Amino acid sequence: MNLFKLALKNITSKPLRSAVTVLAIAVAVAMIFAMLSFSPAVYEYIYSTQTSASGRSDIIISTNSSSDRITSVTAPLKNFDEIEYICPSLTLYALLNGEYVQLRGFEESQFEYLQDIEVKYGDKNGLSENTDNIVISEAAADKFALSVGDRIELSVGSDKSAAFYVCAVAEKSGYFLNDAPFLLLGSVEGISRLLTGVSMGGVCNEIYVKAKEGADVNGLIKRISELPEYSTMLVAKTGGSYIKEQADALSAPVVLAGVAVFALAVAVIVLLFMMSEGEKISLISKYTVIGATKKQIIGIFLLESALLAGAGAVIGSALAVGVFTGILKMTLSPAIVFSISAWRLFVAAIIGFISAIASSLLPILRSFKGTIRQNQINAVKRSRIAKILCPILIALTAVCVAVEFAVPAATAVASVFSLILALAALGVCLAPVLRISARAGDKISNPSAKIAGVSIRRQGSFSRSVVMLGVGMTVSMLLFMAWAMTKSVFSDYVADFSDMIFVTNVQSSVDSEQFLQVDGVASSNKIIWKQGGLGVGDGEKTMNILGSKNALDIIDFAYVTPREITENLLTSDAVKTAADDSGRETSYPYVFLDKALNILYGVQTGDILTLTVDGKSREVAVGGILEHRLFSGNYIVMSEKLIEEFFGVSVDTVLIKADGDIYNTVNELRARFADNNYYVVDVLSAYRWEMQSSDAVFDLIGTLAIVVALFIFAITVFAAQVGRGADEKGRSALLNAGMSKRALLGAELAEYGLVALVAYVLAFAISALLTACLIHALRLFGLYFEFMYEAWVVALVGAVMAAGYALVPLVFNFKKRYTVKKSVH
Amino acid sequence: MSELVLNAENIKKSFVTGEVTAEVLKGVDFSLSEGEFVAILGESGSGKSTLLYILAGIDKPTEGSVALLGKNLAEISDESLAAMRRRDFSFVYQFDNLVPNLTVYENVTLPLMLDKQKESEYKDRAEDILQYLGLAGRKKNYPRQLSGGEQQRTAIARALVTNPKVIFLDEPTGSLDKERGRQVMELLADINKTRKVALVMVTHSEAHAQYASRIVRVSDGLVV
Repeated sequence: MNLFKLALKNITSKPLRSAVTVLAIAVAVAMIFAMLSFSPAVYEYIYSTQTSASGRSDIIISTNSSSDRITSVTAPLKNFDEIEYICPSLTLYALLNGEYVQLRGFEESQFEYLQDIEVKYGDKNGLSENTDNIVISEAAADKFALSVGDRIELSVGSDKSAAFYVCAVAEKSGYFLNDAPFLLLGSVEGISRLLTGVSMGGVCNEIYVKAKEGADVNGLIKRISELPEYSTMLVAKTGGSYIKEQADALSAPVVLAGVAVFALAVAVIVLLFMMSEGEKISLISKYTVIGATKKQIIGIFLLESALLAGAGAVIGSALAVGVFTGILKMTLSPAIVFSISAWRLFVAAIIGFISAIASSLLPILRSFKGTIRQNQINAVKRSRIAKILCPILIALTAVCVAVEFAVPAATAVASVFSLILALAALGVCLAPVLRISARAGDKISNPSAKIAGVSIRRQGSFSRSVVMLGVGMTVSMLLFMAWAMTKSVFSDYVADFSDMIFVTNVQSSVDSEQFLQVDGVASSNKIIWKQGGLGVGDGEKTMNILGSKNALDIIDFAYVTPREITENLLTSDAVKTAADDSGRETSYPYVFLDKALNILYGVQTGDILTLTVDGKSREVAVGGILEHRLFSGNYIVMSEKLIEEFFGVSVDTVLIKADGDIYNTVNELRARFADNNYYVVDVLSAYRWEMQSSDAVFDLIGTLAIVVALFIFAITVFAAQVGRGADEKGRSALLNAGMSKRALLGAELAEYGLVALVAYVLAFAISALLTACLIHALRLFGLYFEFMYEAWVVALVGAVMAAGYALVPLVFNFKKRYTVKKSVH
Repeated sequence: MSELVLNAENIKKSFVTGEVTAEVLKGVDFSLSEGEFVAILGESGSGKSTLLYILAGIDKPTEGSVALLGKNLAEISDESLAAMRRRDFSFVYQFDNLVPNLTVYENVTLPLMLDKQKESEYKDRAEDILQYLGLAGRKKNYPRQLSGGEQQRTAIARALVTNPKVIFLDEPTGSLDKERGRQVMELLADINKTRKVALVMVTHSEAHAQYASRIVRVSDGLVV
């Protein structure tokens, strides 16, 4: 026998405890990995779906409302050495059974240049065999009840239609990841029949360019833009920074909550190892009395915890890969292959491993402070550090919170410290508050309450349980609230835009008044809806530009700058005239920005900022500050006339507000303007993908909330059971002293109930402060939100967890196992 | 005259609970000669067990000094004291002596394993001792599978296996019935006689104290 065998015997003698400890470490490792990987996974998801159309290409050249709609000019691109290949594509919208679908055509042999086509049914080679063949998405097949071999009739306008045949149904991957509207993939020759009535090759409205490895893509874009053939077209990089900003914005709340979950996972490991502290210290006294050295004792317990932690880390890594990827595929997309970062997995496993090893040392170090006798009877004095730390942490939290709220420039950074300090204060103060609360038992004559009060004050396991439950409950509350709030904001968004219709693909000269003649149209406004880059802070922030002088009537804004002033400047196409740096009189078009930019970057009315639209940078003046809950910080309002004048971008969209059944109005518009090749779609359908993806990310937050809550609950209950096991002799003694089983059960119910109550009350009390800190901390990610707090969610989540914990003695039927032990051994 | 293996002078011990200080030992002198069997006799709460713990280095005195086998326990390093426990003296509690997840054989040989001795060197000795204590058939059993008397004999076997010069025993018969208690006492007397091991035993039983060669009576924290 050697130290290793001793360690192994310690593990195998308590198989259930060891197994659950390994499992808890494994889940904690998986949680840490999940939190480290969440943001990149959301980015991967958004990137994959946003770039589903452009795939492997680096540059997109597209026609727009101020250029010819169709081009066949690809020859000049062949002169660039840096280009590996070009891939022209013809995209148009057509009606299938009254529904808009997107038709996308490629030249023969180029179908899979940008993306691979994964076929579920049929044969994709059919695309090359017949120009009338198309591949459709699985969702489209379901929607239109289509299968391989079916004939479909597509129409554009009232006079152009063509028949196509389904040769394959594709998986939801590649081009089909973003399937809103439903995508039908075919050949340019086949699709061109809908434009010209005859089949013709070589036409396109998008040209995708793949640059050679190491080529300067930005330089290439500049040189292509300078070619006269493409001067009126949009030449842009595929992907772009907006995807990253969008991914960051969606994942930011969970990245922050992840910090709390991360701390929680580590705390769970520590507390779990501390649960059997008394038993370990007693065992240490036995080893010491027969001559084990400190090194040998450390060796035995380190080996034991290393074996448990190692197994936990390995299983946790496998869990992390399996479960996390499974959750992502379930909530985000089954088609995307989420990459597993080896270093993140390693970091998560190492954190779990080291936390477990370090935790196992705590009882050993404590035992070294006492004599063998003190360890034998577990009488080493408890550290008074909690009593000292509790008021210190509360004071520090108060100072930090005061700075956070009183000094706007320090709010974001101070909020992170407030968050950490408040959580630490909660963790440290829960146990003293529990012990103080337990003193109430002294004043109650009921023996169960008295026994419960004494047990809670004297047994360390209750202190650890209340910390684990309280902190776990708080983190779960925050995650559930993040879920509920994002869902609620999202519902508001759906409600706000449920009466709006986009008519796109219009010429800039379109008369918006003509739409008012259609039944159900309440108003129609020509708008420009584009993305642009605004220079704020130290960088450029991607913004959605709503170009319309009627924007204030379209969207329900709140006003920081009075509405009259804003409206006056916007509707009069006003510009600010001022001297530039060289003293020359210059005109700056007015833009109207969100309050978030004022708070995050100190943007004020009258400031001059740089706005870049379609590659053109101009200086603009801030005419006023608006406020919108959903769009916070991500939009610019300005006159469409000024966008055209300063950036050369023409109107290409009419935004219609409907006052009746929106789908009837959409159908009316499609029928009325069938010959104009307009794309008429209700706003919610147009942003179906954004809605789905946001909803998916929100559901991921919800799934994480459920997983974390269940994990915490299970571990807390298990750890409490471990702590309870050590007091079996005490219960036996109480029964022996004449306490009835019913009264003993009452005492245990009171113990569990008080732990649950204290955890609940403190977690609930601190949740509003933590929410404020969390919202303030989002500013570090360039996000600004007003304070939002869903008290009912917090109350409900806490109540469910607390009630579940309080009822453990009944659920596990403690009473059945009460026995008076035959001997004291 | 035999050599002193243990010499304690003016041992005092106080326990502080809140604002109350209880003086358990009020200045006790104690000595033990080589091969001697001393019983420390006293009522419950007299301080006899506390004295034993201090003599064996399990607890520390508030005042006074203990020299065990010529070494002052207050000055000796933890490492040296651990080595003495493995080689020179042993301790037997009233109960709960054994490591629950080890077999009888493993419990008995644990100090030797910790002393990094090879099993081939101690296996025969350990089995002889188990045979001597009537535990040969129980060596693969775990403590929970033993009776109270068997557990106590296992603890004594473990105390003996290192060939110590001194064994300290805290009420070794306290948890046993009269007959098993008598058997253990006869065994201890035999160990003292045949193996020349010095024994210091705490008991509250006058009858058991009679097995010792000398009785030290403790009352209210003092030797009387």
